[in-house]
Amino acid sequence: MHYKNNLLNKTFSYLLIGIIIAFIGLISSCKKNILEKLPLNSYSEDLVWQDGNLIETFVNNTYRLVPHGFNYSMTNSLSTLTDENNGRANSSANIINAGNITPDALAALDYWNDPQRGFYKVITKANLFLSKIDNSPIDSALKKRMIGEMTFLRAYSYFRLISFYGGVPLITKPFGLTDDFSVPRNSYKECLDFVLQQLDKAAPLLPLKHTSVNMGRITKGAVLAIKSRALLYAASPLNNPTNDISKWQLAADAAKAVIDLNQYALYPDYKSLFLASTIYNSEIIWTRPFNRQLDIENAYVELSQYPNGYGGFAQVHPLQNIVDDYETLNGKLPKNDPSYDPQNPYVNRDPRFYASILYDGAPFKGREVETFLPKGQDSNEGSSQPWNATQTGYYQRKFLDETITNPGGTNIGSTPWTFIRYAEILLNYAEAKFNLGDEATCRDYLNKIRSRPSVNMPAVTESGAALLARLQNERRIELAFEDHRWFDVRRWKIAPIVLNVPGKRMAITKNPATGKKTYTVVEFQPRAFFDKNYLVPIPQYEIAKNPKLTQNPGY
Amino acid sequence: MKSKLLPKTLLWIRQKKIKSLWPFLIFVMMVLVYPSKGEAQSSSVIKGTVTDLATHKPIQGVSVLVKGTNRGVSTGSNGEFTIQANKGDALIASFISYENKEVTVGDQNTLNITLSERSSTLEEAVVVGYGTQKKATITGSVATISNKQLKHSPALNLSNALAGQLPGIITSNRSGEPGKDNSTILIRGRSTTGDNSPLVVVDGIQGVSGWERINPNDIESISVLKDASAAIYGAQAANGVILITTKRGSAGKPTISYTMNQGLSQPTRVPKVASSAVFGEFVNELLAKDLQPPRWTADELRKFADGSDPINYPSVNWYNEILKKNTFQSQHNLALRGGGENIKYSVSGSYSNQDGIFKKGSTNFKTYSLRSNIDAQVNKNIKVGFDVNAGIDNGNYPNSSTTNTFGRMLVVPWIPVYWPNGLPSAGIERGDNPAVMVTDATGNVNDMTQRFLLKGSFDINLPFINGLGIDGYFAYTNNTNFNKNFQKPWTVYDYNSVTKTYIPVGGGGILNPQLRESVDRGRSTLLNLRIKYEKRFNDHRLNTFIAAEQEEGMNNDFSAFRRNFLTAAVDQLFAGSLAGQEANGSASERGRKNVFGRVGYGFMEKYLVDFNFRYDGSSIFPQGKQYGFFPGVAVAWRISKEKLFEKIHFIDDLKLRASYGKIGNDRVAPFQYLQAYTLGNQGFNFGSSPTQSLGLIAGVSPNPNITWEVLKTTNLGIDGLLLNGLLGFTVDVFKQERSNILATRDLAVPSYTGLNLPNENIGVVQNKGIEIEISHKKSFNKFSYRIAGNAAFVKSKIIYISEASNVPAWQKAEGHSIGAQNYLKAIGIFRTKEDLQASPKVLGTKVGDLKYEDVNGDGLITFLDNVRLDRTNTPEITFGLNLSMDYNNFSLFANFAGQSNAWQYFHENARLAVNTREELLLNRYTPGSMDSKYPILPLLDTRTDVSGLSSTFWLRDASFVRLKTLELSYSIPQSLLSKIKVSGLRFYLNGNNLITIDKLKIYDPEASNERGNFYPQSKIYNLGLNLTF
Repeated sequence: MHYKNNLLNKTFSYLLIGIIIAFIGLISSCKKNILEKLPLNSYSEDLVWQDGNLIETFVNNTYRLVPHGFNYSMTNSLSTLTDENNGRANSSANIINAGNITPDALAALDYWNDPQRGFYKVITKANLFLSKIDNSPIDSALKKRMIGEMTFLRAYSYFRLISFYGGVPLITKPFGLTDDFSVPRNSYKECLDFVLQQLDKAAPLLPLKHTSVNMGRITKGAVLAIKSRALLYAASPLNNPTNDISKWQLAADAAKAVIDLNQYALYPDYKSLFLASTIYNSEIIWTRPFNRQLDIENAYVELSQYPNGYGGFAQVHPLQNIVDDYETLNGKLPKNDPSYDPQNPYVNRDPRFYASILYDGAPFKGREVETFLPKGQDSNEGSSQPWNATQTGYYQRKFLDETITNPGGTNIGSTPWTFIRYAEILLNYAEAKFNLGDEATCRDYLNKIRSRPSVNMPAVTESGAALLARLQNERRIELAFEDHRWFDVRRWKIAPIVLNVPGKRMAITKNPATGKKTYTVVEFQPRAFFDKNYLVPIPQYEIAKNPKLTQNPGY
Repeated sequence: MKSKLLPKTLLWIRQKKIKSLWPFLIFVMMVLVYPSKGEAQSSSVIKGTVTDLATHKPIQGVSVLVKGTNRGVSTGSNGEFTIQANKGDALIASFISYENKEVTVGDQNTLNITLSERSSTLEEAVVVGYGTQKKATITGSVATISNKQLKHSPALNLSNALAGQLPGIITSNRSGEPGKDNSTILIRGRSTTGDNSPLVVVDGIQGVSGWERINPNDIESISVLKDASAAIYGAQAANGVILITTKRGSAGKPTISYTMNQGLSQPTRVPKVASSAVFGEFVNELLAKDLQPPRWTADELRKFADGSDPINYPSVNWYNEILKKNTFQSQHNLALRGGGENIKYSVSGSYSNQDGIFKKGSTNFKTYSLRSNIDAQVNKNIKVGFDVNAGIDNGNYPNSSTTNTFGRMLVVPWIPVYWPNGLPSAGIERGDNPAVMVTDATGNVNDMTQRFLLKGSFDINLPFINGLGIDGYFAYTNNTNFNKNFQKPWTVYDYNSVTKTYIPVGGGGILNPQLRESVDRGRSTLLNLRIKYEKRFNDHRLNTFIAAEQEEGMNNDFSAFRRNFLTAAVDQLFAGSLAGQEANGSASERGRKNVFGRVGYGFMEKYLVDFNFRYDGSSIFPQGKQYGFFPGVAVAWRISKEKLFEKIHFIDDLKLRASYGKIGNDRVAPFQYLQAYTLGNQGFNFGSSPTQSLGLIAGVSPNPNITWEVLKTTNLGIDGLLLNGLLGFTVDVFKQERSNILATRDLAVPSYTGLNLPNENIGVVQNKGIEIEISHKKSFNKFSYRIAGNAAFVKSKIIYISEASNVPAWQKAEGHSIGAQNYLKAIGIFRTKEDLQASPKVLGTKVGDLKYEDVNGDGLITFLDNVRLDRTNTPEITFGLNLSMDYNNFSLFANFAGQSNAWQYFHENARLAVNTREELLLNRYTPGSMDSKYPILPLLDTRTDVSGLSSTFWLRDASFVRLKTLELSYSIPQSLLSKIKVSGLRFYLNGNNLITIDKLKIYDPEASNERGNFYPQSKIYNLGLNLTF
């Protein structure tokens, strides 16, 4: 017993000493401090700006952030905020169309900070990139190209912002956490000058064409094309109240510069021009490709446009207002063409009507679209989800990949969003020339658009105010649903006329016995435009943070 | 060697009882009972058994004393005793945690005594951080619940069994979905704008996930540290600490205990949706508003209303068609516990199975767990323990999320669920027929978590210094989550009434099946060592330790995805297409290192002081900001021990407590002091054939100063026990100030800065409250009862928070509760054109819209008229009432829980395709109405319509009282059981959420989904039995 107890005590003492050593060791352990951890799911800043591949992925992500026309939670919203489309049960669109937009509910017009629409997100990335790239030891050709791309993307973002809001705070350096954030708005001119200067800086850095793997990146042509649009907007009545002719000259020169690149041509087929199958065709200057089967980006074109009878949600429906502006084959507006029969309205119209709009009786995917009552398959008495039926009698056809059946989820097309195409450059040039008094060139360029093989509309021959009206209508039709109308009606200052009329729809009733259809145009949606609506209000959440930000007048 | 010291008989008992206890027991009983006849006359030998009043089990170790003498014995393992006493003597039976009982000796020589358990005895041991304390001498504010109380609830989720049982603990059960039905738990309310969840410690392991799935039968007790007593957990403890102690073996015969529960659950409440007639009329009204033709003629509406043509004009209640009346759930627990002097063991296995409430639904949740531990006394001074716990949670769900499914149940009522030929209808759109969406036709989501814990511990008394010891443990945990998401397209049908054909509609948004599998594996090691010293000398008692702990964790995950399966027959990755396959993976690491300790000192158990501290280090923060010191001190004065109180007999115990401490909260994303860039599938589809590509995104702007939140907590308390234990009470008042709150400055920093803001230590919040607990109990001969009530009030107030500088004073968050939102004050509905014209209004307001208060008096209703209101869905007042009664072998338990000063916002709306509650539609504004309850109904999910703006109109009072638990149980008498060699058999019938009294009425008052699209909470009826042998 004694022996054992001794042994036990000895063992015990060793054990104790061991434990105490371990204990002290644990407390003061220095071998590898377990608190020194690093993130395993990210790269450190030093690493990123030394590595051309990583920087390129940074740039690529910036491209993804650029707001495009499909990224509207399935409602093509700028078109629903003009006299192009109606958004069904779209409260925020109704508020905006009634002229009742307020700074605290910009909804579809929050191009400031909305997760999908905010341009300042692009600007922030570009500012960070441009502040780091100069000292980066990467391949100089890659560096040059990326500087060109990021410089352009930032300039485009500012151009877009000032087109919505007027002057905005011009931020060109990244902010640090401890900086003073209260910055006042710069003037429209200051911002525009910055945009133009940056576009001039970017153009020489970029190639006219990219290699196959880099298709989709900004080219020199895209820079010049956006410059053309920016100068056109700057010369327009809204931004050029004194009608300074030199501004129109700059706009004309900028458009001509793109034309003179000899890189672009009108694509013969107006309908397939927009589709993924013809992406990067001769007319496309800058486009946003998608691969929605693999990479869903909340841009469900077919789902948001297909008629209910084809499984679509049909959230946007063209208004009778725009249907009325498609000419007849005689080159006249229906109201001016005696041959137009209001009880047979869809015959002999501008081919672009058939390419852009689905109407009652339009052949579509193996049957005719039926928006008539009673029991039209694509009316609110249809068998499939009738609550998703059109409210106007029409569906939007432009952009649809018609090979898709039963759209939804990843079963959708990959129609690219075209930021700018050659037809617009021709229209820009025509408009600038008109304002410079060169009506012949204006008509010439309008007729180039009208004589596209798949369009082939009679030539425009008017002059003066009549020519201006034709010019404006040509732009409305050619660029329908492409996010132009919002800006065009404002810069032309015709919004008080065209946005102050009710939304109209076509009511079609079919006599079940005879099959005869009766067409009635119905005013169904009150709309209003006030002077304050030329500009979008600065978001209230932003003004709340920065007393130096002044609100636009009237809000 | 040691066994020689024991009497031979005991040795015999020890050996025998392991093999077969029953013959021995019976033998003892015979020995005890038979010879008692014909014993001595004057000073007779009294024999008897002491049993528990409630369980009827014998109690070992009860001291039985002849009153006024020193003569006493203690009961043996069967509760038997033998004592010399005279007729007329009083025997006092006393035992820890039981009420003393006095019995007078009569003529008989046998005297059986029953003891009733004390529920708040002062001797009861309460688990506190790293140790236990006697209830009488505890200094902090600690709420406890024992195994006994927990077991009354049939809820399969432990977090749902706590409601109303612990003062100051707020539980909110937001969903009843199996496997996803955890209650959110708040201790003393919300005191940070960040993560408010308490630290959960299970048997010394901190931050345990899945604790909600521990079987209540395996739990010994739960303690909640509410004040500075939590300081011992340092930087993780500011939201309070929940300590769960599970059962271990105890010396005694091996006990096998089996518990079975078989329950039926029902949704507590589902909305009553509108019929076809009501909704059809509403649809016509909506269409008319847009100058659209009506959908239904008056004749058709009449057919809906009178049901005369149910085939063509049906009125379907989709909830009734899709939800089952009753859903089964079951739970089993089998445990073996026991041990001898040197080895004690506990092994317990549990299983539970919970079905979903959907007809033909694929929702099912099963848990399996094994908890085992062995404690061995190696010699007089060394004790070691070894724990192995393993658990599996296995949930299967349909592919559509429940929020989505419940949203889709609001389909228009004139569409049948199935067409007359049995084909499913197409539902709202995209083939979303919820009757199909709840089945495995959509594929299956299998979510399985495996938990594994190994723990070794030791406890050594150092023989050379009395009272000095070392203990510690090492734990390894490995938790793995497997998620397998198999998605299948399905087909449903529209019916074309013109051509009389069924039109197939694809559901699921995909053309071919696809599968995503992911594995997330987390491992951690915890090492804890402690030197402790505990000493009593004369009236002084010192209890102190210093300890060190180190924790290291590592997580890694990966996932793989393939699409376009040729067939749905095999749901494995190989079967998917190679084109477009994806793989992903990542990892993270964390470390924690700290020193902590306690000095507890008591003088005569009268003056008590405990000092806790922790010096805590965490890898979440940058060097130099990693370590913090968190002290907590608590003092108590048992005033009833003072001389003055000797004469005040009705006070048994009275204790005043005070505590103050500084605790941390580090629940925040790590590495915010670094500028990191993450790479993901966020690139751009360049190239002539666009495909996915990587994009790099900058993380938060680095904040080099980031550190933990600091809570300064002050608590004053009083505990009392009056009238010989008839009445007990505890009152605590507290004030907490949370500073350095980790919040982002996104309300203050303009978004044009583009800053991705990190958490910064900027907020200050104050919480004040009071908690009261009162209990009363009494026992008669065969009847005893206990009533315990508790109530708590807590209100938070933001002292400072980063917010927009340029907003009106009435919109500032400062001075308001956490979570307080801005609302327009609804003051009625516009009934007339005149009123509309004369009143301030929102642009676009029509007659029938809500009328709001013009707070700033500028004649318009704009964002400036929003007012911040302290109406959040975190209740300010919570209360509970527990009743228990025992009569003979019957016992009854009831637990009511409730809340008040809680509000929930419901954005109620309806549109062409989306049905809603019938009551809402029936009481909507219609032109000309002068007294409709509701205004023009908002149309959309977003709060943009004039009447759908965030306003007080849609803010509902979520106060309620509900009978959370009711249990009636019956124990089969011992006399019957002994014949079948069973030592205990109890049957019970219990229920959960049986009665609810509330103001909300339309949804369950614990709901938090503002559209009402959630899996309803359950009402459970359960039958159970507990068998011990």
